[in-house]
Amino acid sequence: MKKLSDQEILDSVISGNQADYSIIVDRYKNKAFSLLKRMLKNEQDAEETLQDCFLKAYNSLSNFKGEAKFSTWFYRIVYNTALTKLSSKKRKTENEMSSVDDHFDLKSDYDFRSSEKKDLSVFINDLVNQLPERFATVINLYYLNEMSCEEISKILEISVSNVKVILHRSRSALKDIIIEKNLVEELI
Amino acid sequence: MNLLTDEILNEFLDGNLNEQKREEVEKLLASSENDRKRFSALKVIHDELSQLKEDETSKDFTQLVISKLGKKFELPRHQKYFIFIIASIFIFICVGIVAYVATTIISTSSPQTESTQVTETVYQLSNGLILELKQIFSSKNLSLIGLVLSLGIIISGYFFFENQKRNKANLST
Repeated sequence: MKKLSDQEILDSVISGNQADYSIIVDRYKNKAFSLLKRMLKNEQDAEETLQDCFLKAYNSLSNFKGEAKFSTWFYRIVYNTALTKLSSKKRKTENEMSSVDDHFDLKSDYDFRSSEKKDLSVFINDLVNQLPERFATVINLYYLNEMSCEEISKILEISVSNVKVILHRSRSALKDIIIEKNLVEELI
Repeated sequence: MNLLTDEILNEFLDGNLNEQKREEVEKLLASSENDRKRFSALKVIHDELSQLKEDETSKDFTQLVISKLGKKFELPRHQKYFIFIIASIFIFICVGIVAYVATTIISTSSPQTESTQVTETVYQLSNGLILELKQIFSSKNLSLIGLVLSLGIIISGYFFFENQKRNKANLST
């Protein structure tokens, strides 16, 4: 069966088939949920915020002109809603969020060596979850959503070079942990 | 000084370096075990991140969103019905007043037989209408009409906000 494009589904929703919006929800819910979970560091908040995002997107469908991809437009809603949620929780101020010079220390309680399965993905996942919101967002969008740095820059409303700086710094921080724990030989 | 900074290693990993720069990096990697180790670690991270798995929302998530959409659209519909009912009541009252005035004037005016008297009749009718309206909106009746209208506005306002409150509560559940 032919997989409908986002635009085809949205055209159907706009023409009155409200139920077709469930296809869009199913298509984006898990990836957006992963992003929100990493930004908000709380599963329940992430799910509630995601519901708001889908409602917001539905109500603003008339504003979506199709100039950008739907995914870019939708993730901008997700990102901005998460920022609002974070600032309302007084976890971070807008100014702190806009800095690419955030300093962070990554630690992992996960004992990679004693684990029977030696599941590196759990270990990495744990580290990614500790990254500051903006860094986790870039990692999530780049790897999980397979977005280009240009697309990410549109979502975060920062320059492409800043996106690259964030991506490289995140990867380097994770690399340093691997080296610090002397896991390189074991993992290659 | 280490020539292979993290930045260069990242660019090399992403394939963003030109051929000359790439060859230089390859030579430096071949000559330094420490840099090879750093690059290998970076590659492991890159490969692992490429396999990041999505988290899953609760099973009824989609249904929940769609049902919330339905509720959201019921809200303005209910408000529309409410406003329509209130507006109908006011229009009904106004039409009633006009009809009452018209019938009073018609019943009090004398029957006309000559068509040439049409102008005079219209003049008389309009005079009668003004008199009736003056009577209805006399100081005594005016306070009564004002009272009824105020009561109507207060009651409809109360139900309007109650209705909104109920719909908002429905939406948040």
